[in-house]
Amino acid sequence: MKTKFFFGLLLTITLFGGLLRLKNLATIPFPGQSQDEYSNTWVGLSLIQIGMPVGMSGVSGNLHRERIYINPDRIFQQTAAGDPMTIAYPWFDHPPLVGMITGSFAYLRGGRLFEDATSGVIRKPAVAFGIATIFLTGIVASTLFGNAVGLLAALFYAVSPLVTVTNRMIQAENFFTPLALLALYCWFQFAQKKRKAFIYLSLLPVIAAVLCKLSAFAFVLAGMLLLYRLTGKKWPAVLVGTAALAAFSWWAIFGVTLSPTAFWSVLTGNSARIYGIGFQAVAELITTTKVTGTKTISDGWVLASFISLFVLFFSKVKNKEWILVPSLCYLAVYLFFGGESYGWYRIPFYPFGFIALASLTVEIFRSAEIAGVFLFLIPLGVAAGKVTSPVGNWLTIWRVFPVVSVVLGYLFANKLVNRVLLALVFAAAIVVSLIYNLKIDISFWYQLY
Amino acid sequence: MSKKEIISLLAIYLLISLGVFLVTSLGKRRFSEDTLRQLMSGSGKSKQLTTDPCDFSVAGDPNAGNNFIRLIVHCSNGKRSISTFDATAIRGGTLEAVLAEFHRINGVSAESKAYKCARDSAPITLISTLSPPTTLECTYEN
Repeated sequence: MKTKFFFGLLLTITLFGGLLRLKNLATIPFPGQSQDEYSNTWVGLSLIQIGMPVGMSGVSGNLHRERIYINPDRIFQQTAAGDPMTIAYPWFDHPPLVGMITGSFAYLRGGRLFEDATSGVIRKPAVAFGIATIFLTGIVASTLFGNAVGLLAALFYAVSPLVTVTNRMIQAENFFTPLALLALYCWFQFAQKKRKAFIYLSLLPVIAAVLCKLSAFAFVLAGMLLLYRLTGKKWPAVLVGTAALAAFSWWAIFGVTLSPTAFWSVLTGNSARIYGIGFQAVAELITTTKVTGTKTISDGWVLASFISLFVLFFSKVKNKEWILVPSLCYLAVYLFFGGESYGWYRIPFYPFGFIALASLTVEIFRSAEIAGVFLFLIPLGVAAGKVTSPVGNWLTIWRVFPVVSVVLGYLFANKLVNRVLLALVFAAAIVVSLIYNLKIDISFWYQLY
Repeated sequence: MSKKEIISLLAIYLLISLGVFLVTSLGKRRFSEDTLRQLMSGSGKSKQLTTDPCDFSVAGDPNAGNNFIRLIVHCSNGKRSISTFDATAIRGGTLEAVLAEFHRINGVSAESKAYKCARDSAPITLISTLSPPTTLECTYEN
């Protein structure tokens, strides 16, 4: 595939994914369904204006805590359950970079008070990072497995309804995921071309990712393992690890300068949080599609992506370890840190899952294996169930198509026929997912509960 | 990695560390309780304001056990607004403080003096101290 053509298509997919994320940006998920979105922005707004991070906290150990009703987007007339927010300062629950990004954006848009942090404004930086993730998913996938895989991975990330909705939220995972992809790209280039510049270049996203949230250490660990195993040299891995520790130390300097007592007690308070994710965490990760802690939105692409990840793990595809190691490192950190099973903790899995799904899709088309029809029936069926009722002509097609596919696929075993059948179900899955995305508005969101 | 590279990286690290320390130290000096209170309790520029206290209410019940203050406001236009507050979030503990919070949260611009309130059918004044749990019935006449 020509480079210009590849980038043209990738940019089109990215733009398209961006439009899907911007549609209903301010309303879905409902403002206040995750009050962390406001809190993250307040941290930045307060740092800019009074030099002190102020935000909501459930962690014990903060020096100053106050219960207060703050009503951005009129959440106390909508989604808030009636409890006041617990505001704490200095706020050290997480490093402050996400707050600085969203808070600065709100400030530049004229926001000065906490109530000025409305969803329509503060979610835009999160969407910008989501758009960057689409593009980088495509770049990383094409670098590892070829342009076709790159385009498909970006397409899946762009149209998955769960990802579209979750990408709008101001959660640290939306910010450090593209940074992790960028670092991964640099590490792969270094492993291939042995140019030091790529390692140095990777340090910037590594530092920024750690300053978004400490769980980004998962990708630092992945990078260290990959670099050590695949280059046979210690210094690149040591440098990456040292950069992450340097980022942590800058956060510590920031915290200790503001209040050593509070910084230390919040750190220890964080480590004593209840392990609410539970033993069922891995099974839940694969089988449920959460947006927040309790709210879910059906999405078959995510299940198909997890199936594909397992297929990729046991396949002999070249470069698979560049997907396998980051996924497993993040899974290990997800299980280790798992405070609660919030939907946004899963965001970093999605690019890797979709790259695996794209790789499997290309393999399915290459081999013209008719069994692939049944993989695409997962996202198609889930999306179709949301956009049309199970009666009439569509139901007839849904019932007949698998029978026809199996019979034609194995009776004639003709690659062209199989590819046509695969293309039909694949295209249907994409189109119906787009319609599903467009249907997710306020009235649809109400029906979920 | 060469010695020169290691020294350069160390220098960059120390420089950034110093920068973080200086910026944080200088920023900390700007802290003021009053400004923080203004940030937290100020009314957002895009918030739709009203002069009718019955236009909005605080939805839901706080998980506050018996430590709540319920405010029921009846307006002359026949509308009613019911809000339940967690008493720990009400600074002051008087009827005036409850009405001020009710106005602030809901974006109501109204005179506190225009309310006539009762607790257990007994009239109370703006300076009456409230001890939760308590339910206040008010009529608003502008």
